[in-house]
Amino acid sequence: MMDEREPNPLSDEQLDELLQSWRAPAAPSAELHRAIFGAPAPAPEPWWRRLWSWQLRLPAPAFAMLLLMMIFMGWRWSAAERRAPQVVIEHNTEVRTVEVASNNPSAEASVKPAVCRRRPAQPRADNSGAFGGMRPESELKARVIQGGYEQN
Amino acid sequence: MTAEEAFREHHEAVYRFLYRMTRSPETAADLTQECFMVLLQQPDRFDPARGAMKTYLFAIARNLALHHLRRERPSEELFDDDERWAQDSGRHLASSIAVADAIATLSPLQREALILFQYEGMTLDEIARLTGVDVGAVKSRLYRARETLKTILSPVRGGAQ
Repeated sequence: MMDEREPNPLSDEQLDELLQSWRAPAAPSAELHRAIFGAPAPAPEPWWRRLWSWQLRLPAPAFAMLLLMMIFMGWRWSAAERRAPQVVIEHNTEVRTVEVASNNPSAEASVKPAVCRRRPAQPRADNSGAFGGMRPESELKARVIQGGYEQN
Repeated sequence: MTAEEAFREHHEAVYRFLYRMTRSPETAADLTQECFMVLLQQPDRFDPARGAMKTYLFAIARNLALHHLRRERPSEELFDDDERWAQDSGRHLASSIAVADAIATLSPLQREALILFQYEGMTLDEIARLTGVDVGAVKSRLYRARETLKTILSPVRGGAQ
């Protein structure tokens, strides 16, 4: 008597597990690369070369914004440079020849020091004393104000 | 993306797919080469608006595989290839060969749907776009493929436990 029982079909989990047992071999990458591109796959570049050829993708609006910011900062910097006061110290040395043998001082042989200022000097306040503008009063005129305290 | 970048990124997956479709490492290598030659010679045919590079490459690989399957019939030597590539021994090897044999009995359209879904992790949408059918057809192919495999592979149950 034949056994007519057929094995029960696999469950989904059992099938998935079985399917995973079929592995594919690794691709012959070097041979394929040589066959397609005519040369073996290039060796990976050293890090410094990759750094040298590093590229950054920047959206155009972000680039425009960055450019505007840099132009604005450059303009601010140059304006600040122009506003800064420039102090110039000038040294003028004048040479005069004086004849010592005659022992007669020449009137022309005087050296006049001169101070040059770029800006006009501010008028200085009179600091001669706290009572500089006051004079003693010869006669006192007393005036009596009536009314006393006022109520608010 | 250049052809070389596409090769670096996708050649393994394309090769795996072609190997599982044809069950021959040599044929898979030849077809992988042909697939990337198409990309190299006609780069303008790839339109990023229509899909990812991977989908485009798999569409080429699929056409090549189906064309190959129409011309060739699986030969006896392929069995040896499975033996050569299986890493494990004993029961695992037996189940691996059984799975490859069972999948080979599926129709090419069911086979490609199963391989793309099960082994390459593609979504139903991606497979539908790649094969040019709607998602319902892909689901149907997958369902029928799995039901067939459940029956065929039920004697190998021991390998799944």
